[in-house]
Amino acid sequence: MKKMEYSLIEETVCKHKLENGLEVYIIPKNDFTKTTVYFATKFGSLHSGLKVNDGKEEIIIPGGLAHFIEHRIFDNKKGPVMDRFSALGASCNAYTSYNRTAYHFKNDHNINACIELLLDFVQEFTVKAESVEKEKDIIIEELRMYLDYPSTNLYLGLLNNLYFHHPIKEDVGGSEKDVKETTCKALKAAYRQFYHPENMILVICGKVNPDLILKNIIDNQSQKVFPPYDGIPDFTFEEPLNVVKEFSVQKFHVSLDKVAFGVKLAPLVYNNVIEYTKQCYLYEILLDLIFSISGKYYEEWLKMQIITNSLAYSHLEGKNYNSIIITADVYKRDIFIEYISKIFKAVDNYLPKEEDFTRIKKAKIGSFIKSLNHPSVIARELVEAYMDEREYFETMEIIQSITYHEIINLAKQISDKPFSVNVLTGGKND
Amino acid sequence: MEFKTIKTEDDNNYYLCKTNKFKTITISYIFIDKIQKNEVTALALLSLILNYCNEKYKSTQELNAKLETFYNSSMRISSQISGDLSLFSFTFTGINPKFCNDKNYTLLEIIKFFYSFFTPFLNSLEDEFNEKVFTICKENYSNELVQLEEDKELFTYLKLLDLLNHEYSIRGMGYLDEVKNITNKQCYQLFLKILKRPLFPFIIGDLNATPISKLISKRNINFKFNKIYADLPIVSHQSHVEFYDEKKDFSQSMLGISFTSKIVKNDALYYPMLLLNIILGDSSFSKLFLTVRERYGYCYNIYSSYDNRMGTIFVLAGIDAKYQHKTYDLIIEQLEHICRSRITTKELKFAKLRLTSEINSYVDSPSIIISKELDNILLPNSLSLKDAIGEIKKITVEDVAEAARRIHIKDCFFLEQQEEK
Repeated sequence: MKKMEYSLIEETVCKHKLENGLEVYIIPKNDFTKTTVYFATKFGSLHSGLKVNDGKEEIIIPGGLAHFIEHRIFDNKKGPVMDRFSALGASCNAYTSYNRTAYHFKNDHNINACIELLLDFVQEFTVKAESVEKEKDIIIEELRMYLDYPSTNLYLGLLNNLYFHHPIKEDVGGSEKDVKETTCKALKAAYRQFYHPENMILVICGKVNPDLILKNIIDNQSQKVFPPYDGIPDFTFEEPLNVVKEFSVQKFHVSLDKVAFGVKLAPLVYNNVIEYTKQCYLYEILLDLIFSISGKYYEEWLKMQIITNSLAYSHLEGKNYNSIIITADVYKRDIFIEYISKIFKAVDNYLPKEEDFTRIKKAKIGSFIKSLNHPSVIARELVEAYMDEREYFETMEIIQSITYHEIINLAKQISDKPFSVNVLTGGKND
Repeated sequence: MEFKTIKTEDDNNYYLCKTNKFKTITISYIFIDKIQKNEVTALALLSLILNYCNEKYKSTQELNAKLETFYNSSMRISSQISGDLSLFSFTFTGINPKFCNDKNYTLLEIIKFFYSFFTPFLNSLEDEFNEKVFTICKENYSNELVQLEEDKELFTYLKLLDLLNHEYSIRGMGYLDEVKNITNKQCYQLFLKILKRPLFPFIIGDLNATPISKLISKRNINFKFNKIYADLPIVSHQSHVEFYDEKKDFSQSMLGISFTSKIVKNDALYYPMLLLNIILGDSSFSKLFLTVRERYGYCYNIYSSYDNRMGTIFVLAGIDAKYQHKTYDLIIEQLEHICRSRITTKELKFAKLRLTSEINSYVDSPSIIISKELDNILLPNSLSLKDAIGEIKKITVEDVAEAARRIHIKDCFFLEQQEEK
């Protein structure tokens, strides 16, 4: 087991790759009472449309399949998984995202037994047609729950304006139609392909002895036989650089108009994890410089009654997609859209001074150190970074290496790119 | 994780929890008094005004730039209601300066920054807040209250809370119809009044008492460090259940039911009540989750929540309208099972494990550590974590059933989706 000491942040990370390919990370935090464990696979909604083989024939993965497996995997033949965690005093949960499905639990004792249970239930998938049919109703209710959120509609509406083919524009859970058409055969085939240890990561953070924990994990895994790993077929999406639609308006039960402004950019190009992580931080810092509360515009627009205190921004980046998204609840939507459009016409003209850049860098470092206060946050962040192929524990050094000049270059690079706007309106401004 | 009471040089007390467990330091000053319903909305607005800026950092831009210079520290001023008490807190959380080696980010600078929030940005006559700041905050606050209607779950919860119709069943975030009448002067007077409330100052982090005591003593603000105790405002039972419904433009309906129990935090059945809530609807092994969702597939989301200061339980479920009556019947049926001691050994064991684990983890979060310590001060008979766990171990099925028999259904609110899909 490789032990890495990060003296600047007073953390130790133990890393080991098992013979079956599973990567294990253990971060001891012995002052804390609870330990958090994540077991995650690189399988999410972006993999829909890929072809997988169930041993007999090729099956195309339908929308929402990763999420469907996440629901059904808890129906284990040895009995309800949740009950078995509860018997150990733990609470277990799961989530599916664009590029991953993660199963996790927290507990203050029985950690070895819980890890064993986590590994065992995720590494066994026996699904019956009857239970698949029943689960469809539950999943559809979940999709409807999210569809009642204005934010979900605003966001998905914008992504559908930006992307022609890329599955990023689809709900992670798929559509109701996808869910209704899901079959046992597709579930089993996708599980076989994506739940191989080579495609997974196990992260443990909390009150643990790394050597003992690793020994138990090795014992557990050495008793299991996995088929040879074929790898995940690489996938690319033929996605034009222009947008589908520049403007759309949706009627919704909102009191104030909600606007989402999205800029479509070419996917990032990089050579290694550090370079990629640095690029992600470049985008974050650039957006903070212009749109954060400490930036020039937020308060100005508040005072001019263009927006409420709801301005938000994010950089959405991954396999063959790269975009910037700005959202706000607005009083004057046309003026807001006009101002944001102007900024993205020539972003470098709107950059503040270098001293502001230094301040934002400090803030980023502070956020990272604060995240180390919570074992559950560390475990989740490490899984996310791993899945996105970003570095996590060297965040401080990476942020420190960023220069103002690099920010100016990025600002120039993302200027005058295709954009789209989606508006949710209750009708008052129409 | 223990607090020590420390005396400052000017003879006031604060509570210090010295630990290197966290990479942050947390300073929280909580001003407490009995809540007055007619002040709730103004208190919520006041917290927004004080969060926005102050005399030293006159704009929100400047203030947030300072927080960024302090390595993304956070400063939160908030108004909360807890039982019959109003808690108005000023809380700073920032990374411990020992990680930064930055002469501009020291404990002295942090304390100076923290205290700047007690000197707000006023108008030239110094009898009101700055008018522009007041107007912006009032406008934003109104919008936030209007937008509550967009969240069906919160909407349903607030509806049930209002229907309790009790002196202390108060919306902590305030009331929309009261906002327009709140004046700047009134808000400022309220601020002055808050500073005269009994104060409970807490500090958590890898810090020594002596330098903090010196720094606090020099602030020259005469806070009152007196004590106050909480009363628990029990909600009474009602003779019959009331049904209400409303239609809104959602694609999923919400069913909400409120129950009264008269069991509050200092009741002998308090810990059985906590277990009851877990067994009924607050866990993945709960009766509601396993029947309404897993067995019948009527919903994705169903849960119960227990308010230990009013003795109420709320059950909420996101369902298709066609399952309204079936879901209602199942909820009542499951509660009746508990009343009749139909609780399996497994359910009780799981609930005890879950509650014990939850109590053990209180010491992993600075904010929970403060909130639990405050509980101990306000409710002097509160059990220590160790004693509470000892009590939980002794609870029997019959104790939980006894708690369930004290529960009465009060109101049922159905928020119906506009169009069935």
